[in-house]
Formats: sequence, structure tokens, C-alpha cells
Amino acid sequence: MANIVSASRLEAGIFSPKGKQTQLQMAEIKSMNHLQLAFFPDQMRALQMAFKKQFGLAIPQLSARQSSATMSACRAEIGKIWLFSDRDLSDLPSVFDKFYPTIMTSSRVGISLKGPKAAEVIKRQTAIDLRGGAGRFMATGMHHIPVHVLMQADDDFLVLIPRSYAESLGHLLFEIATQFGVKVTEPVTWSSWHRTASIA
Amino acid sequence: MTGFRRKTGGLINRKKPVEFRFNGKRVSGFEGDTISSALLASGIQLVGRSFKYHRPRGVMSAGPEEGGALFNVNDGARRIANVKGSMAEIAPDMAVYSQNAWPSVRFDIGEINSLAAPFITAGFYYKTFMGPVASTKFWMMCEHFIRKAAGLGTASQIEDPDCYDIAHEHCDVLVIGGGSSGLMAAADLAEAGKSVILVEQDFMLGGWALNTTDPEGQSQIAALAARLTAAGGCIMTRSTAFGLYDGLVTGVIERHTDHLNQAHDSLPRETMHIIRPQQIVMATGAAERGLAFGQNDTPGVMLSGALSAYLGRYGVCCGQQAVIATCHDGAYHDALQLKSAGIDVTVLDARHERPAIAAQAEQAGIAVLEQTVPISVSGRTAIASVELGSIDEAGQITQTHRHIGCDVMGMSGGYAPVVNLLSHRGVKPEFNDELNSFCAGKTDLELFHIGGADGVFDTDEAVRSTEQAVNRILKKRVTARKAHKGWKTSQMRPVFEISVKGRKLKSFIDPQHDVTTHDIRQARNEGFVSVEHMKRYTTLGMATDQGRMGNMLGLAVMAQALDKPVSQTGITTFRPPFTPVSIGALAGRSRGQESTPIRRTPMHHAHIEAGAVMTDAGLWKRPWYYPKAGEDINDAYIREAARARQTVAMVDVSTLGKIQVQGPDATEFLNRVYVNPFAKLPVGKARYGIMLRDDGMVMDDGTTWRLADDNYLMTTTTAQAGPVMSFLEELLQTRWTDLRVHLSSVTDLWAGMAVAGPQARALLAGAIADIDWSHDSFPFMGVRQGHITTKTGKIACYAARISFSGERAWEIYVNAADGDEAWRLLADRVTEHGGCLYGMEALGALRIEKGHVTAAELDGRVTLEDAGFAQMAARKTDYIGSVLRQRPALMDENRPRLVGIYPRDRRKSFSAGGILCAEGQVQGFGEGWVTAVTHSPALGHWIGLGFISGGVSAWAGKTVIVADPVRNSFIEADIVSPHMYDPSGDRQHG
Repeated sequence: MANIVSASRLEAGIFSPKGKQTQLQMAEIKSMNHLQLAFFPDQMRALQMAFKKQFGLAIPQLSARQSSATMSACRAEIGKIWLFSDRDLSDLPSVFDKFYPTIMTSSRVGISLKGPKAAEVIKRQTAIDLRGGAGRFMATGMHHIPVHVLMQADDDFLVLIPRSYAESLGHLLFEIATQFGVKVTEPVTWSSWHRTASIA
Repeated sequence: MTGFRRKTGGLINRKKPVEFRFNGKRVSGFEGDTISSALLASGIQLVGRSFKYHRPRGVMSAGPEEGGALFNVNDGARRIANVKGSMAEIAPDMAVYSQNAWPSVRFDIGEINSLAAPFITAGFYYKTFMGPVASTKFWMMCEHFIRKAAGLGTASQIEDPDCYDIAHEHCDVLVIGGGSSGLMAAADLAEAGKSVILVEQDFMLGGWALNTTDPEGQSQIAALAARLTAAGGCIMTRSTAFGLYDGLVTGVIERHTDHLNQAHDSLPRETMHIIRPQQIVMATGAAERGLAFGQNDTPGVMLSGALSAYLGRYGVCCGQQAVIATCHDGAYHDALQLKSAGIDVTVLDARHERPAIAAQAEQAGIAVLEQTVPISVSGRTAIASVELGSIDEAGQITQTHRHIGCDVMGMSGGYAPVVNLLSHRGVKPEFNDELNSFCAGKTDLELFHIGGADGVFDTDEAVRSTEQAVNRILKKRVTARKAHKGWKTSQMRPVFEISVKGRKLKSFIDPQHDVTTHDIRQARNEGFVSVEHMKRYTTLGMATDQGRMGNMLGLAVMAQALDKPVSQTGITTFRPPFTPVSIGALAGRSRGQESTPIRRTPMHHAHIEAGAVMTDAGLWKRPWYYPKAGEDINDAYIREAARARQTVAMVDVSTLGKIQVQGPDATEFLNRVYVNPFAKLPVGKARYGIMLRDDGMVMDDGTTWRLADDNYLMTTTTAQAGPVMSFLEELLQTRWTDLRVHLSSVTDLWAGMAVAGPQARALLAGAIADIDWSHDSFPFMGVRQGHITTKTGKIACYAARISFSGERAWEIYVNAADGDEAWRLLADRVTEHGGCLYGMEALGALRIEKGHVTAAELDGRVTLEDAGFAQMAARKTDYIGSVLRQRPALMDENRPRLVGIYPRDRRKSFSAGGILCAEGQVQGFGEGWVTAVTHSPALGHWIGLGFISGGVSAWAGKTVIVADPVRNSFIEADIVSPHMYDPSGDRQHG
């Protein structure tokens, strides 16, 4: 009986061409809380101060990420920041109210691709230049679907897929990954995935 | 092995023999062999038949210019046509077949075509099958036989079982070509810190160096490759750069599995790499060209460099008695290599001045015949001898009536730099008089030709040309003379066609398409003097080799016919692809079920488990109907719709577009985008809104919920979710930049389910206890927050009293992650209340009964008045489309207006798409059209929605004909109000 897991419904197991070692790991991220903060240009300074005080982080540049031990803050748009953590993000102080905090948890499914061939899988679905190094958060498209890619390291990626497409695109990424040999694991918690990532 | 394979030498792995089948017979080779080298090693010279005349064909080259050794490879679904034997590696149990030959390649019935050769020359099809007499009918009568008689390989008609990938790469420098020059440039650039990708079409690096018997050359190649890899460069073999596009974007096909000849369920057969480099180094080398002389397509006649390549790389002697015809120094190196292997070699040199290298050749035991050219060869399926002629200083050729016996012949008319890729960018090659070839034209592109591709054929000069390109890329200021093109030794003599006055010779210039020198002259005589016209008239250069073998010869013959220099006749344009590309590689993973992504609602698998038949709604999969045993779609949807009217039913509405509108100006923003005002909408209420396009036509409709003073949740139709979001973003970013509004698409954040029917209130009151469901507390269009009680906890939800069905109904929205659980829980309660789940078909029936519009009605041609929404529009304020919607033609009362349709005979049905016509005037576009039809369980007969001129009032008491000429159906109908069921709205407000 296949072990069906998660929104992407990836089957856990080892899949590789005969005689080939697995060269990447694939897993869906569970318990990933996702909060959006939206701001106008004249609110930048106020947000910076609140951000620093609450999270100890600077506001990330566009298409970049700032990380602490428990959280990643990614600049999804010019005026929007996405926070990811497995701690509850709904209890922000009232100073954040003017930044329209919106719980987006479950709007997107995170799929982690890690290993020497992880970039090869990413390259087979999106045209982004991966030479820029770790810490980038890129809005792009895969198979006509708008997705975001968080590049933790040269061999470590998190693909954020709109939930309704997670099964379709997750399956496609898995199929591409099998040529390199892939180990699909049970969903991993956001914190365990985040811990293993380099802190930018 | 036969005697054609030498006991030593070559780069094949003699420890790994490989057996494959050629026309059903077992043939042996070694790992590292191509089909051509293995066949030649086995003494097989006749390998196929030609396209038109079915002439015997042998191996002609050792590269992608091959025009003779083309094969069908493999059987069944993996059969591939026109595989070049000179490029394809052999694999165990590979099945290789000759093309265009029946019953066998040796005895081919089709050879009878040769007898008709005088009639089927260039332009045969144009002359025979076009015009008033010879019409299309004549062509269709002959087509089957012509297609049988002509052609090359046959493609498989079974679905391709392999998968393909498309990959995107970025680099500083792309080096195309893995010969000595390319490797040197790539290694130098990588060591200087550039990110470098090197692509090589062959399965081995080395280019021309592979063809020599010099082991030092091989070790140099290995050392360069090691340097490149150590410096972080990427080497891709079996990878052909097939096209150069805007911004230096380069298409590269990488072949993964053809050489393995076994099915791989996970490996793609090919990957198409789309490479985006900053700069390109073209190290594509030069292609040798042949000579046009009599019967030059006889098996055993091949390019001089190919003889050398098969010997040096594969350890194969193509014959024991070789004649090499040339007009330049380059071919002497081939002759010397053949001689060193013990082959008896005679060189025919067309030049008048004796070259210095001739002495070296003679010293090695090679017979050199100066001012001598081949006039014709003899032999039917294999060459037997060469007839010689002498050529004087003026180029006149006379017969000497001398023949030399031989079993193989090499020909070399010079080398042409491979500049096809640059031509893809529209840069015309320029003719070089010294090389008698076209070289890369001038360009501003960041693209550098080096080595043979730059027309540099001397080794030291090739190194110089490579260093110069590297210095330019690295912006090093080094002044040095340009690399010398051609050979440093004596120059070549331009020789293209060898013809003798008064003698007819069949001289081929494009062996793949059976184009002869006669065809070129005929084209000229018939007025096709432009090279582009000549190409299309004769099909020269239109085969899979794209003119590499014969283009230059054809241009030279045309120039001679026009009495112009080649530089003035010009060259045809090379277009992508450089070599054939599999259609599958262009599609990548976008095929079959995944050709487009599938969008699933959070409850998708619950629907499947409930037995739903799914249907496509854009990219979404939605439940169409939930059949019980023995039910068809009609039984099912009528039951489902009736249940919604009688008890309770539930439908998945997660696919509706959902947009969060936030900010201090959110209300003003909505006032501007909707025709109806939102300023007075209180928090906790929803409002139905219509938005127009700029041109005044209805764009979309939906409800918008006010969640806070500055926070709204807008819903759109499923179909328009994307366009509406884009349009609203555009408005904020370009027109209303002063508005402080944030938009966020939250379609995927919410799972939505609509519970409709008289028992909906009771059902929901049991499931969501923390909301007061009484009518007074939760009026129509009210929005509340609550929690669905589960066995283990609670699921937060929004409940909005909205009705698309016309029944007492609520839409329940929960977080998408909770959608499946909430749906199953409510579905159980629906069953407990005697209700059912319903799908798209029943949803359609319910909304048609109510006259609610969808994309079927709001098709982009409809105004507010047409759809019956005019009274909603604000009168004093502006909104998108408010001005243009009032254009006189759009306000015309005779425009088609939304109406309901009843068949006069209530037992009859009619179809959507039918034309509404006045009685007795069934013609043309009629008076209107039918947009939707259903059987109404509530009314007990078929009903429809549609648009008809003037609307209900214009057709009261009149008979309308629903004309469906396609189905030959003409039904009398009555036009009624579109609100066919519960027009007062008592049920939904109750």
C-alpha cells in the first residue's frame, strides 16, 4: 500500500534508475505557517522598526530572504513580505495591524528539493538563473503555474506552489527527479527543514 | 571482424564488442563505433537507396553532413527515421534498416525510377500537378503511388513512449564545439573565472583530432578537458546546438538514451537545453565539401576526411586501393594517414602548380597525378574504377581515357566554415575568395568564431585565433596580427563541377534529395536565378543535412550558369534547426494528461471517493455529477437539482476566484471598479457586484464581502479569476497610483462549499453552533465567522448567505487545508437530512431556472442593459466603463436582451447554441441565440436562457423558432422572463 502523504500526495520511497544512487531528497513541508504583511512605500521605515524589534531582522530586499533561527522573511512583492515559521504568527503586536497581516497558511504548499541534483530539477521547470547564490526568493513560473522558489543553498531549494496545483506540479517535479535518483520522505516540519538551511 | 577493421588503432573499446542487426542480419562492432563505422568494418558498402531515383547509396561522410547512410533505427514505437549512420552510436540489439528500398537494398524494385529520371527532374511536381488541366484531383489520384515510391525513412505512428525534458541554463560563455580550439578557449575562460558551458554534438570530445592516429593529439584533448572540468566548466557531449535566437539564446539538444537502446522509465530520451549565455565562442569547425563529377554518388565515393576519420578514430580501412581527388593541401594529410596504414593511395590534384606537400606524399609512396581530376566513376553498387581527365590552367577539362582501378575514393573540394548558427540570427555569410567558401559575416553580437569555424585550417593559426577570441572576451589588451585563414602552404584551386564539353554526366550535388548539376542549370534556364528560388525549385539543401554536403557546389554551378562569381550569386539562408530535432523534445513534459497543469480543489479526492464524474472547468477538475447505480448524467443531475429544491444539497465552489482587497482606499477602489456603489456596505455584509471593461461591456460579476472597514473579500467567476486580478492590478499600478490599496489573490487559500435547500439552515445550525442562523440575525447577504465542530476540535469558517441556486443557501469558506475534513463532515450531515451532493450539471440547472448568468451569457458582447442589470448601475458616480457603456448603439432597446425560453410543446427539448428566429423567418443570424438549456426539475420541462432582440417585451405572445440547422431541429418556443423559478425570491430570502 502506497504511503500517500500530504497535499502534494507524494509517495514516500526511493526512486532511481537501476544502479544509480539517489542524488536528491524531496519532501513536502508541514506545519509551515505563512503570514503576509503588506505596506505602502511611506510605511517602510515604520515597518523596518517594528520588524527589527519583533523579529530581529531587517526587511529583506526584493527577491531576497532574511532568516533567523525560527523564521524566514521573504520579499514576495515590492510592498509585500511573507513570513514563514512553525510558530503561531497570528498573535503579532498591534503595531503590525496597519500592515494588513493576512494569514496565508495553506494557500501554498512547500516542497523541498535538496541534494547535488536539486538545481537540475529546478532548471527543468523554470528559467531563473541559479548562479546568484543562496538566500534568494524568486517569483517565477513552472509549467505555466506561478510559483516562488526559495534558494537556501546551491543544493537546497524550497518551491512554494499554489495549493490547487500542488499535486500536479509535485508529481511533475517528482517525475523529473527520478532520472537523478530521488528519495521522497514523509513530510518534514518547517523547523526541521529550516534548521538545516544556512542562515543568510 | 572482417579484414576492413585493423587489428589495432582507433578510439573504439575493443574489449566491448557490440552486436546489432542490419536489415535483419547480425553485425558486430565495438563500443565507440557508429552505425557507419561498424558497417564499413564489416565490409558493407551498400547501405540504402536514394530519395527519388532509388540509386544505391553508401557511407559518404563521418559527420552530420551525411547524405547517403541514413537509416530507420529500431522497431515499433521507438522507430526513428533518417538517423545519420555517421553520428549514431551502435547499441546492443539495435535494429537498423535501410531506407526507401523494397524488397531489399540490393534488389530494389524502386530502382526502376531511374529509367524515368529524365522526366522527374527539378520542378516535376509543379509542372505535373498544377494548372487548369492537371488539378488537385490528379494529384490526389497519384499521391499514394508517389509517396510510396519516393521518400526516405518512415516514422512510427505509435505514440512516443519516451519522455523528454526542457532545461534552462545560464552561463557567461557558451562554447559550441569540443574540438581542440573549443576546448582550449573553454579551459582558458573557465580558469579566468568565467562560467563556461561547452557543448559537443559528438559523443567524444576532440573534433578533428579524433580522426588522427596521433596519440599525442588524444592526450592533449584529455588534458584540456581536465583543465576545463577542474576550473568548474560544464561539458555536455551528445549535445547539438541546433538554433541561435534573440539575445544569444541557444537551443541545444542533449541525447541521453538512444545509445543505450533500452527503455528507461525514468531517463528522458532527450533534453532540450535553452541556454542563455552572455557570450558565445563558435568552435564549430569546418565541413568538407565534395566535387561534382560523373556518378559521384556511387557507394565507395566519400569525403576525403571521412576516409581518414574511419581509419583514425574507428580503425577501419574503407578500402585497400584509394583514390583521393582534391584541389588543396588538406586532403594530402588524409592521403598520408591512409598510406601509413598500408593502403595504396593515388592523389588526383587539380592544381596547376605543384604543391610542396606533393613531394612529401610521393616520398611516402603515394602516387600524385597533377592537373588531374576525376571525370566519372564506374561500378553500380560499389566503386570499381575512376576515369581521369586533365585540367588546364584555364580550367578546361579534357578526357584522357585513362582509368584507375580502386575500391574507395575520397573527394575534397575544400572546407566550409560551419557558420549556420550565425545565419540563424540573420547575419549573411560572406564569401572568402582565398578559401572559396562562405565565412562568418560581420556582426555586433557578442559571438566569436575560432579555428576552423573562422576559416583557419593551420594548427598554429587556430591556436592564435582561439587566443584572440579569449583575449577579447576577457577584455585583455593584446595587439597581435589576425590569424591567417586557410593553409599556410600553397593555396587551393577552386574546383566545383568537373564537366567535359559534349559529354553528359550525372553529377550529384545533393545526394539526399537526388539533386544534380543538371537540375541547377535547368532551374536557371527556367528563370529561377535567385539562389533562394533555385533552392526551392530544386530542393537543394532542404534535406536533413541542410545543404552541408552540396550547397556550395550548387551555388557554384548556378554562378557558372549565370556567368557571375559565387560572391555575387550569394548564399541561401540557414534556418534552425541545424540538425533534426525530435518533436517530443520541443514539447518536454507538456504531454498527455500533464500537457497542462491540473488544478484540484481541496475536496478533490473526497469527490472521487463519492463517485463523482469529474469535468474540466478551465484547468480545474470539478465534479460534474454524482451518479447512483444505473443513473446516467440526466438522471443524476435532475435528481441532484430536485433534492436542492426539496431538502438540501451541497456543491464545491472552491474554484471561484477570491481576491483580498485591503487598504484605506479599498472602498473607493471598489466603487470605481464595480458599477454599483460599495460605500454603504456595512461590515459583515456582502454585495453582488458587476464590473465592466473600459469599453462598457460586462467583464465579470460576483459577491464582495466586507470583513472590516478597510478589508474586503472579492469573489469572481471561476473563468475570470485570473483576468480580473490582472486588470485590477493594472488599474492600481497605472491609473490609480494614488489609491492606497493592496490586492492579494487568495483563491487557493479558501475551500468553499455552498449548502442550498429548505433544510440548509437546520443542517448548518447543527454543524456550526457558534453562529445564530435565524433569519433576523443572519439575513440574506450576511457574512459571519464561526467554527465547524469536528470530533477532535473546531474548524474556523466564514459563512455568507448567498444563493446562486435560488434556494435558501449559504456558502461556507474554510482554510484550504481544512477543506477536505469540513466537506466530509458537512456531506455526512447532508445525507442525514436526506440531501445529496451536486455537481456542475445540477448547478447549471438551478441557475438557469433562476436566470442567473455565467460566462455562457457574459461572453464579452453583453452590456448591463442586455443582461438586465442596468438598474444596478450608479447614476452619479463614474466607474470603469461608465462612459463608453452609454454609446448610442449600446443603449439601443432593440439589442438582444436576456430572456427565458420555453418550448411551446413542453415535451420537446432544444439545444444551447440554437438560433432564435421569428416565425417564418428562419434565416441568417436570426433574432438571437440560446446560451444555456436544461431540464428543469422544478418546472417539469426543458427551459433555456438566451438573448433576443428587444427582450421579453418585444416577443410577448409571439412564436419564436429555436433553429438548430446542424441537428435539423426547429422548435417553436415562447419567450419568457429569465427568472423562471421563484421570481420573487421568496425561497432564497426565506
